[in-house]
Amino acid sequence: MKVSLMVTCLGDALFPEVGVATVRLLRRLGVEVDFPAAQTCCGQPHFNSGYHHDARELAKHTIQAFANKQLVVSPSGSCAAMVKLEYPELLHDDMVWHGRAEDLARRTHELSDFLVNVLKKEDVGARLEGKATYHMACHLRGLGLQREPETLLQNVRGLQLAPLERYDECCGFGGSFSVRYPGISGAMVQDKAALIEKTGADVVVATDAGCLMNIGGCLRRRGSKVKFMHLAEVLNST
Amino acid sequence: MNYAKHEHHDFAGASAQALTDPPLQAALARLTDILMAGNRRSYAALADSSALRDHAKRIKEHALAHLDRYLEELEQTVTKRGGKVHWAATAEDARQIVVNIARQAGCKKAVKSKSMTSEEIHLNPALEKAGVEVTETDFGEFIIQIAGERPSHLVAPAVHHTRESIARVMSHHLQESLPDDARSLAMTGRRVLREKFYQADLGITGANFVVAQTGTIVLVTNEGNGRLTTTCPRVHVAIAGIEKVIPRFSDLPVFLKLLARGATGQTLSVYTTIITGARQPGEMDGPEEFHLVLLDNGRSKILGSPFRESLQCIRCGACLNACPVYRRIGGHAYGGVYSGPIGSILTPLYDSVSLNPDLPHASSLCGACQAACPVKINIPHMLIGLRQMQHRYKPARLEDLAYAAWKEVLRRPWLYRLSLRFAKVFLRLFAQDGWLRRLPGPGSGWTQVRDFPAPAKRTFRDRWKELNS
Amino acid sequence: MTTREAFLQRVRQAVVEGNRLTAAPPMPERGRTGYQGAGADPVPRFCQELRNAGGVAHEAKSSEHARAIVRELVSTKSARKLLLSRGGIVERLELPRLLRDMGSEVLIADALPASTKDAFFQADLGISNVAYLVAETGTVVVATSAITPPSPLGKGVEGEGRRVGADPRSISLLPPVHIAVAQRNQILPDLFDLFDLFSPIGAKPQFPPSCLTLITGPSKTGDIELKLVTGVHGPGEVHVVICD
Repeated sequence: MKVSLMVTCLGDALFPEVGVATVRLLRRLGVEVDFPAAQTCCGQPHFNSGYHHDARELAKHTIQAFANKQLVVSPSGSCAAMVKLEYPELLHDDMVWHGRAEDLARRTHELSDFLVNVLKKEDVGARLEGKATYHMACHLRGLGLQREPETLLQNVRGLQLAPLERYDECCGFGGSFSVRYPGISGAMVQDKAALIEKTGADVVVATDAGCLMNIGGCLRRRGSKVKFMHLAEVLNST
Repeated sequence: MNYAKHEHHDFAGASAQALTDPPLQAALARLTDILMAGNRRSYAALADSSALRDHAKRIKEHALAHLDRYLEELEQTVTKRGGKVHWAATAEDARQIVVNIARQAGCKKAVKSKSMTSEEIHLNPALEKAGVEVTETDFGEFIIQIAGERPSHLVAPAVHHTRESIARVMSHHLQESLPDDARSLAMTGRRVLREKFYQADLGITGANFVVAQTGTIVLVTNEGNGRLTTTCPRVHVAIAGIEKVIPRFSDLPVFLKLLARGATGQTLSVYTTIITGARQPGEMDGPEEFHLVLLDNGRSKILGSPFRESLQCIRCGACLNACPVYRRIGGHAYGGVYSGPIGSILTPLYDSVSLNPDLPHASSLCGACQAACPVKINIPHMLIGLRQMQHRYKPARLEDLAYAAWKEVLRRPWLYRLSLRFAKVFLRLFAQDGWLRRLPGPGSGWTQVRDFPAPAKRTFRDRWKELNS
Repeated sequence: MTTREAFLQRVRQAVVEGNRLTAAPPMPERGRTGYQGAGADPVPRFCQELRNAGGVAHEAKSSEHARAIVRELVSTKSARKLLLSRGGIVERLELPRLLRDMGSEVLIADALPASTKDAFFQADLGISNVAYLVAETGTVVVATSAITPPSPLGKGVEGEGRRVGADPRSISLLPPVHIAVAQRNQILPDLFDLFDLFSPIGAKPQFPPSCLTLITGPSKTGDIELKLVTGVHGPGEVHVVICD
């Protein structure tokens, strides 16, 4: 099987090791991976801020970048949700692009979705010693991926999973929200960090760069010993 | 400004104040924890709850798509049962109608069962001006009324109060020193309000649902004040937004099964009062007159807009309880009558989009509201829709330009790569171990409680080549 | 144009405009969606749900047992003034006579003079019949006028078409304690079953009573720090005596 990697803009610029881990993991599982170089950003920031015209152009750009008919895998629920849930609606009235948007939406999978529901692998043969806790990214709720990441984590050898209170409550990132309302967003991420510390875990695992930069940045500022990892990095550990 | 007393447009100030109010923070955490746990537990326990929620949504969609027809049917059925329908295009009309009913029937003492619609039209001052004493009888609303405040939650209006502050407010009002335990405060409330029910000649309620087919209104309460309000006084006035109309009597249980489960996790609220007309011949109690005031007040405008879905709301409060933003700032911060995620949609639409520029942005778009909503209203989408509308109303020039420029960069992979390189070189100058402790300008808020990651030394793009060698 | 016409005209126009943006769906058919039922025997489910809601269920093995339960409740509550339903099981169990013999002041609710307000407000305890019970939710259904269950959906007290229920609103509302007496065969499994009684398939729906009340446990408020307090407005105690 051959797939295209949608690394996402945050993944490209801030957390390249997540993309690297995703590629290595997929290759270890026998999946061929390519990286369409024209990809930039899915346009979610524009869409969420109500700049639908701009978002439409970026959607078309992304659709073109992934026009190769392969399945698309992204280590981000947020960007996958943008493509799967918003593109078709955003381009609904466009005779030419609506069909292409639906086609890409069908082909696109968030990483845990791809592993569990397409490759049918709940155990990817990973090993990582330590105690982890899992924060659910909000867009996984929208995508209906409530159990996939945890299933994968449960099957990592050596890894003890500590339940996180309010694990599916938003960490407070929300893109422009965190900049516009830093007070509210800050209160949310402080609570999240405190709950993570309370689990006694060595590492918090999440599936989105947005959550990781927000939670990770807060844990750092608190001088916390808890590290953060993307699901791909955990699953790529052997 | 006292945000608890007055409606306002100062979201930033009010939310900042709320964040530094420890008793409020404790109250909000308690409320959202308890009610959300109930919401989840009860949806999970209800067989095919998701399908039932879809069904409820479709009933609402259908009702709204044929609302003109159902309103006319409703008028016929109410009239057939001896009631009278009044048409209120605006809040002012609605106030005038209720005042006139009170005058004509010679009513001097009104008791009210909790109704957000009556809050919306600011009914109480108008009645008092007309010489009618009004008493709120929902215990939480009673506290709010004697404290001179506004409700801070759709179904738990006094959630911002503590046991101690309730004792203080009630002691002051009754001029007696009351102990601050919940039971004795509630029992004092019972005693005081029972007297009001005994004396009242006018009962004013909202309506959770209105059934076109039978001219029925439904009141859902846990305390029983809705029942008392429609049992003791000789005149009953119900005020309902036109969006509350559902087609058939047999559609009611669909919503009843969801309302309490969504709101509090109860299988059913304690009292569901299903009223069809006034007291019938031979009956021993109940009002002699029944009036139904149907309120538009901006709803028809929404009905014809892309925001129609917001009219499906059944006012259960589940989205407030689920919302991590509401949990941090409470209801008064939102400024309008309706708060939380649904309030962030309704207040701009009912009040003014341009006067409420902050509300559509007061959300991380996490979607917890939609997941909790009994009729699965796509609240995040409507918030985004309002953000889109704002650009038309009041173009924020600088922001528009920034997003447009950013888009132009993102459409050109070479330019994107170049910008990334510049950003990397620049930001890494200020970084320690790859993190920034302080950001300038709009980013300064972010770095108040957290570090910001600097771009990596080598982007994924750079590393892709080596992955293939 | 009248206010009414102008009002409706605005709604008509909004309906047309909005329907252009989103499809106007036909009325959906419910089928069995959301029907919970109550298993083979609805009694235990009813009792469990009532307990969850804070009420007390009493299963009486015989009429004598039912009378003993009521007598016991009235005496432990030291209730002096009692408000009772007319007819129905209340009368079949001869509760008025029984309670008068105990020395209580018994008022039959619908036999009171026009100035009943004081009697209603002063009663210590109300004993009512029920129109139905709903097992799914542990709910007592009381009605201000008789409900005539349509055939064949109806499950009246004694066979089809039998009119059931008719109680003033106050009995189950004003006194601090409410005792409802019911028969097993008045239990409906699901909330849907109750509402379906009013809209028999293919027939014109009948108007419901002027007031149909669903009571699920004692009156509650959570307005003080979410601590549940019972009896804030309605009865603080709800007992349901189920006779065979």
